[in-house]
Amino acid sequence: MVGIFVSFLIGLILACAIVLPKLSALKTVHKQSGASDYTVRDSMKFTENRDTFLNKRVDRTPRNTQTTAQRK
Amino acid sequence: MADANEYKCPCCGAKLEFNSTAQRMKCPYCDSEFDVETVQDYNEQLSEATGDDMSWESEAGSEWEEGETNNIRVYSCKSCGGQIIAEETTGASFCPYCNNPVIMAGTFSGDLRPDLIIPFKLNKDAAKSAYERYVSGKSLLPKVFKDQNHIEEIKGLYVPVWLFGAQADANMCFRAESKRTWMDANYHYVETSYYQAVRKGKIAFEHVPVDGSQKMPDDLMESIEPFDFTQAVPFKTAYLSGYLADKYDVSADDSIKRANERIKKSTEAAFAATVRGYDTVRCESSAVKLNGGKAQYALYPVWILNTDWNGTKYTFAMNGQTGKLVGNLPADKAKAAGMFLGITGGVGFVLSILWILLHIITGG
Repeated sequence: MVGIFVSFLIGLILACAIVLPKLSALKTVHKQSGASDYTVRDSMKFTENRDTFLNKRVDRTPRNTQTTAQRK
Repeated sequence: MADANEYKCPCCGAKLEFNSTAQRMKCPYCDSEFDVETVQDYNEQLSEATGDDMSWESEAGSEWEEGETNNIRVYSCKSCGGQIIAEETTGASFCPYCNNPVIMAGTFSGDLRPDLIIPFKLNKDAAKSAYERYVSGKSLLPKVFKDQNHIEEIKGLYVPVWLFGAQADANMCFRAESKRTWMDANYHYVETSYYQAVRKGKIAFEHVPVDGSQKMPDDLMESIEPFDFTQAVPFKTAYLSGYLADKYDVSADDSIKRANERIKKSTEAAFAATVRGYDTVRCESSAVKLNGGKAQYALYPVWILNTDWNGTKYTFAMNGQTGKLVGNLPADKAKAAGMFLGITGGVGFVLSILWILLHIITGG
């Protein structure tokens, strides 16, 4: 039964992958999300650009159930 | 009553139109072609020699009620003398009596004069062809829509737009994480490293367009972007001949909000894209400040195609410069549902048979 259920689930996913793009192709009117087409070329300059390490955390999960955590 | 400008052919006196292919003024009768500047100078000289004054006084007709004429203007066609009643925002149209292209003098004068215009590069035939290509090959479009549907109206329209340019100063802070996993005989381990990423800097935008016409839907106008601004030229009324045109009825101040939304979103996206090498990145704070903002007033070329089907109006727009065409189409819901169920059932059935056969062969 599981195999049959998985078979139809694959069919459902395939149908979504085929039909939904065809439906969305009928709707092409939408607002632009940004203005990236109008960025002046090479105009982006940094005055500050840094990445700072804050902390590290290790989660340890036993092969059975419990989880323990420790901070360094 | 205001005057409606026409551009007469110096050879035969017929009305000239702007030819998008030749990028010159062309006479539809004798096929003569002229530069825009030449025609403008020629017609200005002609208009100076109008000294007659043979006006009549008539008391016929009733008075307009107060406020009734607030949004309309009456123009006189220089070709046939017919009265053209148009909205006050109309800048170019056609005479309903003689069908000559006319330009409403005054609509684009003084402070209302656009700084720039992108002339039409594509003609009406290109718009028709683009529409036919657009509706073909769409399997979920109702077949009767394709068969019965005929575009009822195609009009070339210069849409007023505000173009905004500014430098955006960004100050953004991100929280980033990277993960490393391993295991030993007894445990699974997940090591998560936390970082703070700071990005401060600037980025510039130019010619971000915002629709300046209430009649033109904003989403439709934004859908046919981008326009190639390098082909914009200083505004001359002669470019409007043969097309419809409106002046803006949404002010620059009222359009700033939309430009700010777009600039802020793209600024944040550009700086966020520089936070790399992590498994997850989350923006914690963002401040975008605009400097040196300026606005220009321009006219952009758009072909509008209208049709009615099953009582619903469908509007399509084509970029008159690049040919990009957009417009929402109806969906054949029964066909979509059939396709959905057919694929689900067909694939599910075939895979189930294979699974059952495999189960029998392996003896499970």
